[in-house]
Amino acid sequence: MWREIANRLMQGLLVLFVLGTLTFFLVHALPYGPFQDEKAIPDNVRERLEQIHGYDKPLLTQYWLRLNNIVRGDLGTSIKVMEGREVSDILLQAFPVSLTLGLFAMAIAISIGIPAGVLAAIRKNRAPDYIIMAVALLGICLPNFVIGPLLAEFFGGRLGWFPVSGWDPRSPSAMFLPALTLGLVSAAYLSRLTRAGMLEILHQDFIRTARAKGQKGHIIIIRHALRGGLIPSIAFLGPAFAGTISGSVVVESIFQIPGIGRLFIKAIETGDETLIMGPVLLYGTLIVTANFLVDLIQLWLNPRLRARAAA
Amino acid sequence: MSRALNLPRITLVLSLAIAALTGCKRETMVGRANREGILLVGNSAEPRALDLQIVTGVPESKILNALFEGLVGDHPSDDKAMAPGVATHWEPNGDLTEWTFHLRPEAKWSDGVPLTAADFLFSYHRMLHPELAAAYAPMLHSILNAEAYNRDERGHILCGLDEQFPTPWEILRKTNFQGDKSIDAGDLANRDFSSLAGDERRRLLAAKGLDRLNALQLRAILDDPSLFDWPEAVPPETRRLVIERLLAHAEAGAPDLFERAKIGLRAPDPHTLVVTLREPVPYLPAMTRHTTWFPVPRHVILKFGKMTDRDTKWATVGNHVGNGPFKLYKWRYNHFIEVRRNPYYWDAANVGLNGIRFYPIENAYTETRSFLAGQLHTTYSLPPDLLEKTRRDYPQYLRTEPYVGTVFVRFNTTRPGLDDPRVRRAISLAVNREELCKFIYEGFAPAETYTPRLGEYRPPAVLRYDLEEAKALLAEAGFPGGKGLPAFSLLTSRLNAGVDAMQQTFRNLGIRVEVQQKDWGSYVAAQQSLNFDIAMAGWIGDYLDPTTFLDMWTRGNGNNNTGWDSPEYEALLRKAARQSDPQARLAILAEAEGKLMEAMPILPIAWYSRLYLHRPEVRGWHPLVLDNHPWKHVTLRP
Repeated sequence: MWREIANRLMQGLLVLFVLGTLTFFLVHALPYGPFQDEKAIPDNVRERLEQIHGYDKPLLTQYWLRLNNIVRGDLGTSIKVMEGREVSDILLQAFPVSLTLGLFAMAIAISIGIPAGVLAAIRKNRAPDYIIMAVALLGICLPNFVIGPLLAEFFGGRLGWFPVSGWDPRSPSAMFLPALTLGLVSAAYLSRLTRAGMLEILHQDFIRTARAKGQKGHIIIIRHALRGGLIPSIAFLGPAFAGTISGSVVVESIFQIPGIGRLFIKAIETGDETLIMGPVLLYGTLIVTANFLVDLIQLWLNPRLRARAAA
Repeated sequence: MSRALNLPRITLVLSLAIAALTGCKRETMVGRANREGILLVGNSAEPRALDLQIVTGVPESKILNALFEGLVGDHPSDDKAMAPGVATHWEPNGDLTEWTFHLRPEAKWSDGVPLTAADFLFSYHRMLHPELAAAYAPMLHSILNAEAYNRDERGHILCGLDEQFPTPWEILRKTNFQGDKSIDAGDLANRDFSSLAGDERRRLLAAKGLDRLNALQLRAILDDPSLFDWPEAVPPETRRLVIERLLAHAEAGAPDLFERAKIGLRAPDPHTLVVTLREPVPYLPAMTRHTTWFPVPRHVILKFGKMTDRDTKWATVGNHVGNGPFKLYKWRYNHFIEVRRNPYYWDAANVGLNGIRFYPIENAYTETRSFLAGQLHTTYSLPPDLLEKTRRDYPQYLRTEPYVGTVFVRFNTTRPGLDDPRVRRAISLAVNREELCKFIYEGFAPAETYTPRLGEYRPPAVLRYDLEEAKALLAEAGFPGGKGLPAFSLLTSRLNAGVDAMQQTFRNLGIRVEVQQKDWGSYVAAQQSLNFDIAMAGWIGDYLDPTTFLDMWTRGNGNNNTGWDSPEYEALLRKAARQSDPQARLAILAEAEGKLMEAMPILPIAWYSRLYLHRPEVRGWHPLVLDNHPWKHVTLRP
């Protein structure tokens, strides 16, 4: 089992190396670069900027230097978007925001999605099932750039319950609408996955046995069915969490949230290589780690996988 | 089973949770800010940095105008009025080529250190220093010899500006000092010079130009003069002298040439600044209101690094020092920047606000929502499609004001078909600007010419709509009904109704046009490399003078990007530059603009307006064409 884990870790590092290398060369292949503005930058200024940032060296030399620095933990400074600021500094400011938002959104997704899925499974092919599944489908189909402004307009503007934009780490009320917008889509997926997982388990023999023994309904659900029924949902949670954190660009823009997403887009628009690389490696690490953790949780939840890993 | 998942109970818990989250306070952010005297401003984008000599954007300039003050200040309600700033008064010499600014003796930096003329000398030195690489340095090029220093024209400075030099600059200047852009030596740039063959060396030296050569390369020319092509007029002994001077400079480690460049800046005493110009500049006081002419604190910059270091910590919270009515207080990335009253400001008693908070809200819809929910006093822009609804529902907040900018279409005049001015004029005649401004560019004014209204400048209003004449002109050019013209692409960075309308305009003439959308970076790059047919574009002026619109259409100007240039047009611009009578000068510029519109490398569509939302309790805020509302005059009276 330890070998399996070590193997996975090595794979993760390889993924990050390939990711970083691809990103570096793709950014340098862009038809534009960081030393370009809407108003033309004078030639002498551009040449000097290229010299300051090492862009006058051959590409492979630049790659080698960057790789060395990154391996030593130095992500460099932003070239354009927040010129001169350490990328690690920027990420340290922005990542907690994205992380908090992501956690809040996942909490909402889980507390809505899983109970809804369980309820739908229990009341299969009856009114609650149809209603929940219809709402879930709507949730999956409606993009967050529609849901977000609607929520902001109604709960923020009309009712005035929540701020419509901005971020205050001390006030959860400012986080509620963006977290809800982000969480609703995952909630919709989760409810469908939970429903499917629960239905499969509820038809198994051991549930029938439990029922035959006269066990109470909610105990069967919570103690016996849920553990197995949640496996598909758990498998979804890891990538969904990473996706929620990295995919919050639109929500960050709608609610004016100082997270990584907006920075990342701006970095891409301006070809700010260091500020692109930082989030790419961060997201990469995040996804690799999330998948790794999900593997571990599944090993713990699923006795069959445990047996295979041990063998 | 049903009891375990009691829906009403869940609903109750959820609604209690929501109630707890929303809390009980009902005061809006604006209400609280009114009590505290803090102005909440929508400011579009996060600033790149707050080092005013490095940044170039409008959002940055808004904040910098609170943190700094130039020689001349902004008037709260009159664009043309020159309010005192750091200078109390100023006067030009007879032909407007030298301006003397008298600085107020009580001026201080926000840390209490006195602000003197030496600070201005340092600031302009830093701004122009070739190693700082300030993109906006050309704003200072009208200072005598500033351009040569900024572009590191070593030959010009070391030989041309030396009156004792045997060959005058008029002859010497024909030498290839700045490099021949038509020669490609990219393959040689990273190779060891001593390993290059003779003709490779020759090619590299010609591509780089004498000013950019290092000691090794210069010595190679001394040893073998045939490596470099000299103009006939430059005598051999002078050639040697030029190389020797450049070599001595390179061997000394290329020291700063500021002193030797004899730049037109002097400070006869700590409170007097004299600026000598290369040509008459009647609008110099207006130009010093631009952030590029603001002072930077020498004592702080040098504490955190060299003069030419771009990314030191001097411009961050805790270290930042300015001379404006406010000072930097808080900077939360992508969230807000807050400035607070500067007690050392010379006019602190008359500053109306305790502070300003700038929110970098890029999404204009989010900004509008925030404003209407009471989170902002004033916004950066209102999306044009919300104009009608705002007019109906919130007329008390709506502001539409003229702005110094033009929406236009750029032609690549090197493309077959578009190289004929008649074709370009025909397309212009087919644009119904009235309709466009009524339905698409709402709030904007139909362009009558390229430059929007600026003070007393009155260029001929030549643009009009006449589809029949347009068709006739197109036929005259040999393309009746658009026949014979290739299909063009219309480059844009975002798809909107304006693009559709332009496409329809072309269709009305029988010209086929396909829309080509590119992301912002590629869109800009395509124009700068003339890799487009027709492009949607816009320009915002930097100061209140037509040259901020006209200078860019000259040969080799990085913002021209049309492939068009005209010696006649440039002769008029030069004539205007030498003219010291302001009225006559404007008349010559108007004539130049007439030529530009005749040739029509660009097709103006509309003059910008600023559409935004603004709360009535904000006082001391008046319509201004440059949109630089001096923050110190703004007050809040709920």
